[in-house]
Amino acid sequence: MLRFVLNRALMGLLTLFVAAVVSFIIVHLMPGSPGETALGASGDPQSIKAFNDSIGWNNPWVVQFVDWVRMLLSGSLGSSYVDNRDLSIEITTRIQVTAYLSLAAIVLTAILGVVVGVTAAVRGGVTDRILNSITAFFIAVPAFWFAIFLILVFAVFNPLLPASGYVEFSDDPIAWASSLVLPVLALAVHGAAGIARITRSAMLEAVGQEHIRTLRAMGVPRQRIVYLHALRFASVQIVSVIGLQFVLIFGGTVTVEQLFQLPGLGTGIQRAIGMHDVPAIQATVMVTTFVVVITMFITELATRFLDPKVRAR
Amino acid sequence: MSTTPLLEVTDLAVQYGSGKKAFTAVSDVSFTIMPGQVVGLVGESGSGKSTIGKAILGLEKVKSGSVKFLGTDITHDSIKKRQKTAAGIRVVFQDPYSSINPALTVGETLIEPLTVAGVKREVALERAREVLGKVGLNPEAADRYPRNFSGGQRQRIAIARALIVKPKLIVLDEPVSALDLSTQAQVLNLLADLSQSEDVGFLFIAHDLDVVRFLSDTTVVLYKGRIMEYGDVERVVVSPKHPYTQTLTSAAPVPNPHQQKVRREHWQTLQISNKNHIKDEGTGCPFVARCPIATQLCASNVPELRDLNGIKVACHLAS
Amino acid sequence: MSNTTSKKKSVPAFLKRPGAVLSLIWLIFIVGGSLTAPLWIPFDIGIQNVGFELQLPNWQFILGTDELGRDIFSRIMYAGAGTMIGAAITVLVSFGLGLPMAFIAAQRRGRVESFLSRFTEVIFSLPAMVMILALVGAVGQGNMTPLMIFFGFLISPAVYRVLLGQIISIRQRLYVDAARLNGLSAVRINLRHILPGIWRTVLVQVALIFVAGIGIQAGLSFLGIGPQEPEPSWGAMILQATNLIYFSPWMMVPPGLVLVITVFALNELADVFGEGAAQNSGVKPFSFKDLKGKRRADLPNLDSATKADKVLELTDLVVGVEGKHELVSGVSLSLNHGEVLGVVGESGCGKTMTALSVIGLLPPGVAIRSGSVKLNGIEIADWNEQELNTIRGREIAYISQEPMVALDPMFSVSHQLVYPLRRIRGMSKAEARAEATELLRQVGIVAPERVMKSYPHQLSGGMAQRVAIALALTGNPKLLIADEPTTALDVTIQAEILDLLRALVAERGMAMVVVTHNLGVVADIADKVAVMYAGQVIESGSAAEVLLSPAHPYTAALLGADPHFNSGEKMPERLTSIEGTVPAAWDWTPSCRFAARCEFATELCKQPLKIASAHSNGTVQCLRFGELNLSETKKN
Repeated sequence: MLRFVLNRALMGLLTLFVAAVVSFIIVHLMPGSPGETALGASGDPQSIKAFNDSIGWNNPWVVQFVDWVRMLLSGSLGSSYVDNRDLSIEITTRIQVTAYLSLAAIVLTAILGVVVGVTAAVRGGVTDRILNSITAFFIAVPAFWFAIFLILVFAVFNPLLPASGYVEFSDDPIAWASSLVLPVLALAVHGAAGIARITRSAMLEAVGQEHIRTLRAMGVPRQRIVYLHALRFASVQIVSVIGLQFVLIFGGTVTVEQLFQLPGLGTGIQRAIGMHDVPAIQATVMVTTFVVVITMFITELATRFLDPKVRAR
Repeated sequence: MSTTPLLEVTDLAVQYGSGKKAFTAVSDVSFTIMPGQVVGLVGESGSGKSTIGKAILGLEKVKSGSVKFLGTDITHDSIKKRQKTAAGIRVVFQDPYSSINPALTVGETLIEPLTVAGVKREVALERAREVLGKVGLNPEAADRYPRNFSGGQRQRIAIARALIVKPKLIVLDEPVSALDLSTQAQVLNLLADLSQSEDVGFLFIAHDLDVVRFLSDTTVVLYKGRIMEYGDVERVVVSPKHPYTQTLTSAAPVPNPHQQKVRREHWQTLQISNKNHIKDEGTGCPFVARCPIATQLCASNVPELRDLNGIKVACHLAS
Repeated sequence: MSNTTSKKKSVPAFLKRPGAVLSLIWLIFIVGGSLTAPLWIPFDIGIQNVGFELQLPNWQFILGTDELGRDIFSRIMYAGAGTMIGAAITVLVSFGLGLPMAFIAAQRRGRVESFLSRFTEVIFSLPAMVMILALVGAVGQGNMTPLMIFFGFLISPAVYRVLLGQIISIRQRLYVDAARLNGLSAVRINLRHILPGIWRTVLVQVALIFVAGIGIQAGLSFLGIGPQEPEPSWGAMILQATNLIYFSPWMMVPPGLVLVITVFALNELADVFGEGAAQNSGVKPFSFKDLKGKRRADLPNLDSATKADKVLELTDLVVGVEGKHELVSGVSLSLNHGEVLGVVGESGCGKTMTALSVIGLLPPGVAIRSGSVKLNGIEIADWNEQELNTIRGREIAYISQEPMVALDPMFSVSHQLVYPLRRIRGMSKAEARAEATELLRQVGIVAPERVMKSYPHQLSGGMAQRVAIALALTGNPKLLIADEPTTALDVTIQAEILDLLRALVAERGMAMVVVTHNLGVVADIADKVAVMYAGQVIESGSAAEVLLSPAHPYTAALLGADPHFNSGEKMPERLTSIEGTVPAAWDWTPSCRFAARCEFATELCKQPLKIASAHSNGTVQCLRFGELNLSETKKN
């Protein structure tokens, strides 16, 4: 167990390091310099150079990289070149929005996906075929397009929920919740379709296992075979897909955030790109990678717990 | 026969993994095969019998000891080098389904070793048809796909693939274990015929001592990677000297109920005396924990292979 | 058992799926149409038809127009080309990286594989969308090619992972070893022996990554960083529609629907290829359907039933594949309390099917057609799953061929033994625990407390079979069906298990049916024997009579083919060889099915079969019975 944790921690650090290198290289390939960005078109060459020197932009890349990593290790994400705002604060606020959104979405995704998948597998026949067509359709539907439908139905034709915008929980919990309903639904339906299909095939694989024959030969009641033995067998696969789906949702909220104008990480990075805000881009990449690493760790921990064969290793 | 041995295996040891997880699969195994001879390697799962076959073929790394083919040391030769040094060694695997590529015609499968050696396709295909006849299949089988053949027929194809290069030695790795009784008899008869008609020796790997008895001249009985008993097959089977060989022979049921009753009783007496067992501390005879006659000596010292009237036995107590 | 599906393979599988055919047509249309779009689209993408803004579909503009009066259909088709090329770039890059890495890792294994696997794991953990957005900052908006190349790199671990598993599993096949020994070079082994085995998986992955490529492009252009105006893209057209959602909701439909249908079609094709890749065994696994059934109210109660003489009686049992051939043709057997019946024969002769029909566990698509199965005098042939559950475990139990997979890998031995004891015998948890431990001791397990805590994968084959036997005993059954209980075990373990079964039968007065292909096992444990050939019992009687003086040429030949001789006997030069193989089930005839392989067959043998009595209380199905002297056959 200790070996597993150490191993995972090492891999996680390695991943963060690679993310740091890649994002560092990418932002340094950007045309122009932070000085031009910060001072705008009006800035004269001298002050632009002075600005660039002050942030160390003209130092060798290695020095800049080491400085940046050192800053990250000290627990700070730096500050924006554009308006000098503290990125640690900005990212913390933004990540909250994205986290609410993707956590709510993954919970809904998992419940919906598992229920639909199990139903399709267990019922079989017409139910299976109908559910299968529905999931096949929703897998092909991008979240942002489905979101527009939701807006049409629940905001335009029946104005029940806001079409866009975000309200802080502390300001108005109810408005906060209703501002998240449509985006969460949009993200969840797409993800749930994928989980439903995996759940279905995992359940079918489980019931085809030889040990199910033994259970039947012992006269074990159907409910117990389905919901204890088959579901337990399938759970390893299902859990790891849920983990993967969370990563996809968390990284893929950008379009939905844009559509609903939610001030999350996605809109943040878009804004940063638009303004050539190098530290903000780098900070977002690092924070997102960190979330992915943690998610994968939790997922593996869960599958380890579920599968006695892996647990014993 | 005072010729060079076909195959000479000396003090062979094979180890899986390394460091803490290292596991010795085979140790101190020595035996020889003379030209045209059939040597049966017999043991249960975990005895290392297939590992020895793989080591001889170069599919498994040898830790120590040597393998000589016709006097040439091939122990550490790469598979590429073996195309020159050990081209006369061929193999037939256990599973006739996994050993033949379903996507190729039987002819394509058969001529592979020849075309690699630079033989023209037409010549090779002609030879393939000839060999198919030799293993009792219709020469036209060359144009068909493996899915058209039963397990027994596939095993004949695998034998034909081995024969096509006119080998001196064929390693038969459990060639009949996956077959039904009647097909098993067909293939065993075929192998017996081939060992007469062709100038070829067999290393016959099996878990069934009686099958080995049918086909082999000499047998090597293995347990946990070590030789327990080695010698003329009839003598080993009829009057086994090693307690493990005794256990093995009395465990295999015969289809005659009266004889089987006697066998079973013999087995049970061996089992009952087995109850006062001595702990296996890993320092002595590998069979000590299951041995009906083990003493404290067996737990502490590894028995050497001793010659008892021409049969080699690794047991402190055998006489 | 049945490999009927392999018989006809004239139509490619996907043509049988209308969804797949439609998908293929759509993809040909959208790919071909969009790549040639500039040549044929009705309106140039820039043309603004003044006065025709925000039109709904009509004859002139089949998908309507946008707010500038531009033809939506033309713009969609034109935009398709960029999407297809972008997705193709992603596929090329991801395969260009993933495929060679997978081949190298599979070939080298060890350190190389663990390095590559770790490397790809790291790449896979990078957040793709955010990374790509960062790159947009560097390469500028509307410049899709570098983005798609980068995405191909980020997604290449998916290709690597899936293909690595597949390649490793193919490399483990013996024909790859054979090719290596033949001196084939690594490259030729990959081309000749491995590539043909993975192409279906490759196609599945191509389709799925193409989908990912389309998806990410749609997302990016929806964010406004795809192709820039006036150049159209599907994502940007959806974005455009969002802004006009209050005025013309229709506008979001065409680009979205085209996107959805294209992705749907690709997924559908991936599905079809994937099914082909998985379809290698003919046997259908059980499904949830097999667990269904309602219990009838008037079900006879086996417990209170008067004890019949025969614990089991099969009469003229016919089992067949639905709508197809028979697998068991008219089998009659009977078994007294405490007796052991050996059902012996080669594979494909219906012995397992006969055994499974007794406990109602026939594979899907296989069913009892006629005949009777009486357990303790009560007819159970027509009982459904729920009805059989009233007797399974209590009256009748089953142990299977593969002890290692017979136990549930997810639960401890203790859990698996305690539950039936509580359910069937109504014990408390503590009682059940004690009883389970005791049962393990009874089946010869030396350290039952330790085994109770174990999971199945921690047990050896022999140990697992003992646990499976203990499980079968939890309900004190009167009849045990043992389907090749020792086939997967070593010969010394087999002897131990046979000893155990013999002791259990003697102590508990339990009857047992042992299915086996091993005549020695029959001689060892069975009182009676039924020899099966091609779905029929061709000979039955007491084990001693049948094995010592066989009445049917097949039995005699089988005994002659068996190389297991008593050490006192001399080993013959040749074994009796039965030419040919057991006929396939769809070739079975009403006349003697062994005739084609029988050395005694005459014209007479083409007439329909009859069952004659033989031995003191047995049967034989041979028209020449009585005129043959089989004692000679056995000897040579």
